[in-house]
Amino acid sequence: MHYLEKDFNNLDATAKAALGPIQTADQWNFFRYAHQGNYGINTIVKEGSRVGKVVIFARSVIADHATTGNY
Amino acid sequence: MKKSICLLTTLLVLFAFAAPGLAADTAKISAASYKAGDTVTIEGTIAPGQDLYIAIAQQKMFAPNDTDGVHETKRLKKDAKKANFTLDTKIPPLYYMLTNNPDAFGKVKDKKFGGPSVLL
Repeated sequence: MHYLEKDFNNLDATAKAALGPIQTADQWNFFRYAHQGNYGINTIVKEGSRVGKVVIFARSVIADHATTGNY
Repeated sequence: MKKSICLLTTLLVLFAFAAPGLAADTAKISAASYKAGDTVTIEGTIAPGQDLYIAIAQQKMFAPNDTDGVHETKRLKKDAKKANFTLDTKIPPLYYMLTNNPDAFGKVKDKKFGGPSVLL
């Protein structure tokens, strides 16, 4: 499972600049909450990736599936 | 999980395209607004060897203050303290970061979902 970085200030500077509408630490924390917990996924984002029948997280960072094997 | 048609047609896309050292927005996107199921095409160039970061997000943002559901207001108020966000923090509900460097945003760790706690 891909865990988003906990602390907004630990993100790489170029990555931080590329985030677009997410610009403050508060927004990043809310974004993590909406994508990585059951309540956030079911009420705000409404799109979950599943392992079997269990929703594990909502897709947020997407890389090339062929190279990373992840979402 | 129903979404009304009017919500889908107001779904717009904005994107950010970053290359280190340059603020070059030379990317083009295929249409100004999309409905669910449409294909989004983004064309552009970046310098060789640079990392690609494309953020695709809905333009309409959501903050916990925007809802007046009884359960949601109580729950979001409680969770805001624990998860460190305020009730007027806005995020776009649909947001995807397409990148070749997902490690810049987090790590992949193994997590067990169900199954036996000890494999005998």
